[in-house]
Amino acid sequence: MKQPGQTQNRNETEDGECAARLLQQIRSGDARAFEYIVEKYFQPAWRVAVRILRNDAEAEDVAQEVLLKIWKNPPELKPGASLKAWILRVASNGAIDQLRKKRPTTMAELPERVDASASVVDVLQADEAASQVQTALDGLPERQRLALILTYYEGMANKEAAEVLDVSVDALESLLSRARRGLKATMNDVWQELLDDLAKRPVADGQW
Amino acid sequence: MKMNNDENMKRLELVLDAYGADPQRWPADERETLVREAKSPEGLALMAEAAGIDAMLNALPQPVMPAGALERMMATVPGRETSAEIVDFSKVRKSGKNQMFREFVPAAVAVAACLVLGVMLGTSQLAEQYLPANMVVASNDTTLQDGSVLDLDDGGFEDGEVL
Repeated sequence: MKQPGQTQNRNETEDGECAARLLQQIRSGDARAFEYIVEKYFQPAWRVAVRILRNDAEAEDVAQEVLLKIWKNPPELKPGASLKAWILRVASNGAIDQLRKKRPTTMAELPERVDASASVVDVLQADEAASQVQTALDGLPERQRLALILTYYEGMANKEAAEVLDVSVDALESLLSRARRGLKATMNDVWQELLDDLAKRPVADGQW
Repeated sequence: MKMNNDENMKRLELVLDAYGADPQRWPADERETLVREAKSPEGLALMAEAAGIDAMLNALPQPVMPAGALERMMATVPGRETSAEIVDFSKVRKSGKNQMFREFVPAAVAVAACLVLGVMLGTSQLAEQYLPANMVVASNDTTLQDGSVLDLDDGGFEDGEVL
């Protein structure tokens, strides 16, 4: 049986070669190469950090720090390694470290979303549902949560997400399974109610 | 390696558990087989359960990066000018002076030279020789409007005489 993610090897090698070239250019002080990396990876790094920290400004600091590391001291990637995986690994580690230093958050600091087509009741119900899901996600072990963030929310290929977490694809699948089951178990009591609420919810842009 | 139906169903269960009910998220090389398996009654039940968890995960909005975050990032890069370029006005002033000198001084020198020449011509007798009074009488017609004839021999100009 083939392992999931094997079909992505070719693309990842190309990405690796391109990344190696870009990093070489940065070593010789090419600011345009760095700009390219910032434009491509700053936002994913910020999104991963903000999903962990749930604070825009702190996530921005983490993402900035990661990208500045590349400018000041470009990493030596293994042949074929993904620069995106490296960036998201450093960003998620930075965000987790930051989170550990922070006091426990009691209120959900969800990003704001305005949907003009939704009624106030729909929005409140949807926000309530989102809040419960966020709380359930926050209750997951860090690595399970990160596995979900990378594959589900960031849409990373399984092999790349496994690289970020520094595990095999099988281990990633195991983390994901446990995360999803854990999520369902946490919300078991309100499961049907939540599904009903979510069914009423207007579909938002930019979601899966 | 080929899998039998039981193995396929087990694999579908694992994949649904890990990646959810959207086949686009499944490993590409297994997708076709697993989609076939998912259409069976047992597969459909597993799909429905995974779709419920997906709906929960979808409840969270996609975070939107604050405006200006990218620009702030670029501004932190040491030794790099921002896209808006930081302007050193002291240099601009200096360079402005230099540019003025380069562009306008030659023209000013030319104007000054003309003025000096004008003054010199005015103060010397040369002007009388070369400026508008320097006329050549080219016409022989010396008849005036009242019909009288100008006697050029009497203090008048000779033809072709240059003063």
